[in-house]
Amino acid sequence: MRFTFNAEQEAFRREVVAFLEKEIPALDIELDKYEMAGGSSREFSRKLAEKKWIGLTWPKEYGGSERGYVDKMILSEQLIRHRAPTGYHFAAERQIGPAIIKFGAQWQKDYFLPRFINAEDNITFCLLFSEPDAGSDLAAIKTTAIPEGDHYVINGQKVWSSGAHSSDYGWLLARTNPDPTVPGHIACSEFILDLKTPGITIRPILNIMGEHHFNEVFFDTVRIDKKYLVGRENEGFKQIVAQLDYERAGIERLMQNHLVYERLKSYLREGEFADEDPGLVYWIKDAFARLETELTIGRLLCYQTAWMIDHRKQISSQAALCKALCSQYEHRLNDVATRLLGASSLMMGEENPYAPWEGLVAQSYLHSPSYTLQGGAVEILKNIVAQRGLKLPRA
Amino acid sequence: MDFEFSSEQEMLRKSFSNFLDKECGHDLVKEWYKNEKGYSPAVWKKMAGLGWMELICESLGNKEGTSFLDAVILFEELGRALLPSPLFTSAAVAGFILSQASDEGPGGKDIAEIMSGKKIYTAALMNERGELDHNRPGVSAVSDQNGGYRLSGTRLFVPYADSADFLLVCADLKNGGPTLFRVKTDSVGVTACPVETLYPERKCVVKLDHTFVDSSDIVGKAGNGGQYVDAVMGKITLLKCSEMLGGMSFILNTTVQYVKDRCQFGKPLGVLQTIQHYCADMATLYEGARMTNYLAASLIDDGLSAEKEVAMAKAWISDGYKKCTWISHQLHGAIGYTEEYPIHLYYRHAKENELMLGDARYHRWKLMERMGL
Repeated sequence: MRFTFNAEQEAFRREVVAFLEKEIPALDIELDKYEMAGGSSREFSRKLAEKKWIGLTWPKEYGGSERGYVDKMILSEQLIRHRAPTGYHFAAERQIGPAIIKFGAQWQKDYFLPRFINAEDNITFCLLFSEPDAGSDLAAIKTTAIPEGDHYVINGQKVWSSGAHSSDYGWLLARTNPDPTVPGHIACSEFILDLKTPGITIRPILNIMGEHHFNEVFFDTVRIDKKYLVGRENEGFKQIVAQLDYERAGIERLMQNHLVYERLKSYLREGEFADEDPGLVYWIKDAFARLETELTIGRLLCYQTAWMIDHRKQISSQAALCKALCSQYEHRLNDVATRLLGASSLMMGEENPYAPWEGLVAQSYLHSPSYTLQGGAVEILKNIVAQRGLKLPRA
Repeated sequence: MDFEFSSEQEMLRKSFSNFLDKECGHDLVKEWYKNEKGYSPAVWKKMAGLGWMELICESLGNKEGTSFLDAVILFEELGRALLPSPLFTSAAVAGFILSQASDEGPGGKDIAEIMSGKKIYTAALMNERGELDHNRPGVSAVSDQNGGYRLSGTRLFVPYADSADFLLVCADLKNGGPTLFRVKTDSVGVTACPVETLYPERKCVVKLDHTFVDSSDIVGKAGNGGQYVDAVMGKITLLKCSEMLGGMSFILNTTVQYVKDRCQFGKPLGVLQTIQHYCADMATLYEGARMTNYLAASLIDDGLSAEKEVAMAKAWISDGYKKCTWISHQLHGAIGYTEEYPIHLYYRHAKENELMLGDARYHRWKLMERMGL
């Protein structure tokens, strides 16, 4: 039992910090003021690749370093603390690569994995999972991929597909068994879908801030070669559930708004509000101490989950518990920040001279409702904790 | 990083829990609350035979092969069982304070007596308002004309003072500052009366009325009493947190089992999503408690400062344990509100210990202080 880094882990942390402090300022891009974890730079991804820090946990035969997930967590924590633009390779590394390693055909491994690990061209992926009638209940999807000779023919619609408009590929879940009496969890398959394939229409959905991240994606008789099936036909749902655990265990669910935390902390440190109403001073300190405690717990839960993966333990329940706690922390963090700054926190816009912290707080607060939904709504996560962790009976 | 106890630590835990399962069921616990001493001297002897007092006193790491985590594990198991005994006050509170002071004065022999279990020490550190006042003690120490001192004052919440052999009292020495004294409980002018509180583990009101103490009864150096207590307060608090963590674990497991077994409308309660979410909330409070508790314990075990982490642990666990007992009562329904069923003992234990050694609000304030904010 030891909740602190050992000497090697601490040395690795320092190495990562030194690299990021040197490389990020040298980048030829300006980091988006509000983009805390989603910035994208091919140049930066290349530099990480040169360090062999993409695919850190992957097997050596696929170009990885076969390091543990705790090491990966150390890297991820520093990337996010330094607001590193990892968007270019993020999905390929976190989700698509590991799925191909686990379930993919030999040609998929040979073709995609070296491209991912070296941050080459055309490696951006979006997820094509949710549908209008299949959100939390993902097994209820209706999009079909019907075998026809050497091809699958895809028809249907996806929704909430983040970044589909700027991705090279989609990672698609579709029913390969069209018989509606067969339950979804044994009727679906996973596919790699080149988004340039004819028959695909992508339409933007603007989020509450008017930003274009989400899309609707329509498939009208989209024909793809059978070789794009990943894993086994009709086992896609099982494959996806295994991947979701990895997604939930990520520290980006805790620290997407770390910039707000840092600003809040330095504001308190500088004591700018020391002469304010003592009631406010007291309240804000108490609220920040709660946040600090939740952040500490969330961070350790992320590391614990990584450690469990390294020790081949079942992580579903832990990852769900972790993600639920982390995403609620982020929501509260942004709320506390608005209440500390008061009405001025409502000011928006980088150029607005009345907006404290370049309008960061209002921006973050508007992002907040999505955290407790994406990657599994808190309610679903609690069900997982209760059913898989505490072994309570299913209804 | 390692998120698991070693197999040796797990064996140790098993040995504690086996003993407690055998020796202290809830029926016995409730009997002991009401008996003359408030604990079982027979079980106390057995605990001494198992070396529990020694394990606690040595967990400060002064000796090769000892670990603070061993004491953490012991108090977790004690909290699960809710064994009433002077172990915490004698070995952890008095033992740690004496050990801290022993470099600067007498103490070595006292600790040996605590470790053997032959003598019971208790700490009388709270004033009449129930506040820890070791830095500005409400007990006065006045020089006696024949040498030595006379102590006067009232102490509240003194655990097992009626059966302890010695009290540690911090007194305000005229022109000398807070000074720690060792007081024999059978001295003239000491009265210790058990008092009724929300949680029935034995606590006394102690009155010192011109009680004579010799100058050799000063523990460590005169004037340093408050510092000794402050120096070990983090470790004492974390062992209390560990005890509370054990209580949380009992509450979580008992409640989850109950909603699996209890059927209404032809189904176990646990199939209902509302019930499942309550249970997931308890599990989250418990996991958070484990994280903060073991983080602080890891740092202490490495000999590092853990003041910030102890503050987080006590803040989270004070709130979390209490909330778990609320949920537990809600999910148990009427059966949980009976004298016979054990969860009210934990409901009481959680409330008492929320308020002892600083509540969540106090520790959040302290956390901010430690962060320089």
